[in-house]
Amino acid sequence: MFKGAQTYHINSVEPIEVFYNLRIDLDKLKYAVHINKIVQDVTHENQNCYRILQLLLNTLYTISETDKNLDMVLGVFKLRLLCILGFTPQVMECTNCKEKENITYFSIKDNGLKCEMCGKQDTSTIQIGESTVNAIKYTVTAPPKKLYSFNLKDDALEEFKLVTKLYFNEKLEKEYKVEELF
Amino acid sequence: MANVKINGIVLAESNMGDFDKMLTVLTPNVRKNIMCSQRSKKTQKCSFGWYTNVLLWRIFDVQRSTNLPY
Repeated sequence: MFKGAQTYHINSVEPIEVFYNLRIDLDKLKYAVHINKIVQDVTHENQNCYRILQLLLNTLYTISETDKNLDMVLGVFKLRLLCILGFTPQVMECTNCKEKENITYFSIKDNGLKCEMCGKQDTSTIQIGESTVNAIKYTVTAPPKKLYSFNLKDDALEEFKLVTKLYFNEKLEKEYKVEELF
Repeated sequence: MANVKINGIVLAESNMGDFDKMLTVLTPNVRKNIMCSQRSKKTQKCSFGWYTNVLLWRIFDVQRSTNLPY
């Protein structure tokens, strides 16, 4: 299992950030463990993954130190992770006709937003509101340090959750569920 | 043997035998599997055992076995 030149041993360890709040809140811990599981699945030995690490640390910090909706944090994490992995959805125009106005659908099959006309012809689309469209655009284009600096209202959050969950499961070809603790 | 200091976060840990564990660590450059001795001797507890828990962002002082020149 261990190659001579590839084996590492630890002499000492020093903590930088312990994310203490994750350890005193079961809901936060549940989401942190779920995110950790996803990162384990998408990274591989000796693969360069700086951007994934940055996303993971920012997400853990947001879960631990803020009171943002955990479902929204998970949705943003999933969508941004897909962008890093090469599944960036086309968000600036309709994936079919390139129209920039009247975008009201998200197509899982065609990886991006669609206008009303094209969306009705595609069976894999989900109808979404303007807030959700803006949230998806922001998540894809925002700088890493400002990724979580927005909020969503309840109905837009439900749409955002649904879109990110379906898109994530479709692209990674696996059903990810947040494990219930009790 | 060269000592290298790296930052990393533990994604997973698994026990290997009675005294060792294997850590999967995500570092800014690459993902690594690292062997960690939980106890230096049978009777002596490892002083940094707790710090190897999952989901802590920390510095590892890693000893790397270098290749022989020939």
